[in-house]
Amino acid sequence: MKDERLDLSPLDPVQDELRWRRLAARIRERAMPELARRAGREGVLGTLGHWAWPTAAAAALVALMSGSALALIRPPEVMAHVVQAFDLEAPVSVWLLEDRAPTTDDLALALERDR
Amino acid sequence: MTEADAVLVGRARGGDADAFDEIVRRHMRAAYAVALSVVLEPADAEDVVQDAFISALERLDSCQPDRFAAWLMRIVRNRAISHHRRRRVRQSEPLEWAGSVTSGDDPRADLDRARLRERLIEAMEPLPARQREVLLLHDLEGWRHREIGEALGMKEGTVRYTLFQARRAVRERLGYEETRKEEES
Repeated sequence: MKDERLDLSPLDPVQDELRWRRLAARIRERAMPELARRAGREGVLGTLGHWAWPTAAAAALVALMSGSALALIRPPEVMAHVVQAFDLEAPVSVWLLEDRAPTTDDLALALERDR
Repeated sequence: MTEADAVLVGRARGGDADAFDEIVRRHMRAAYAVALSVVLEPADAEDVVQDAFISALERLDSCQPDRFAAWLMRIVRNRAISHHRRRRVRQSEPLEWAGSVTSGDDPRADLDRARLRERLIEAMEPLPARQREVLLLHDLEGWRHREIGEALGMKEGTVRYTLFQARRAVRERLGYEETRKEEES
């Protein structure tokens, strides 16, 4: 039994090229609102995306610089201001100016002095 | 070099009209073949193709980009089945395609083509829809057995056998029509 390809060319829609092009154009036209919606959604997300990274990077840089600056100026200047502003007395003022936590001996000595 | 479907799908998801145009251009014929295999009327098949592409665009996010063709053909088939059911309910409507699908350049050639088209469709009508689909995708659209198998979820051997059955049935029916016409004249 022969099994050659059937000639189905009379069913080929592209034979009527103009009609075929019109069909493609109609699909394109009907697709425009959805494509615009998708492009808009992509636009908002894209804009946010474009802003988010530089903004986050800038914020990280500012935080790094501020931290470094505070670390550099804290012992001599900031702590002195803090001691002065709150009128702190020894031994608390000493602990702050020396930037250290009180030891057990410091606490025992402070309590001894208050008695 | 042509872009892969997956790339075009990705671009179309972002609203790229050129990418969507390319998808339509690339898959419109196959979509038409699948639609025609169900509705058996060119004008209806065109309507189905239109609706199916718009539906596919709206649901593009749910598609697996590297399996786009198979996914699209499923949408086309489902749309065509719904359309065909509705059409059968409105059976009294006239069949407008035979006269309307013409190039306009040569009315006689258009008429001959319309007759051939009608005969082919009549010969395919008794076939199961799956046989018609395989036949149209292969012999009209030029898809390979492997491609048809991937799109329709069939083994390549099954596609070959289905195609063989479809061709034999159409040939027999066309031969029967020829004999009948000769006897009538």
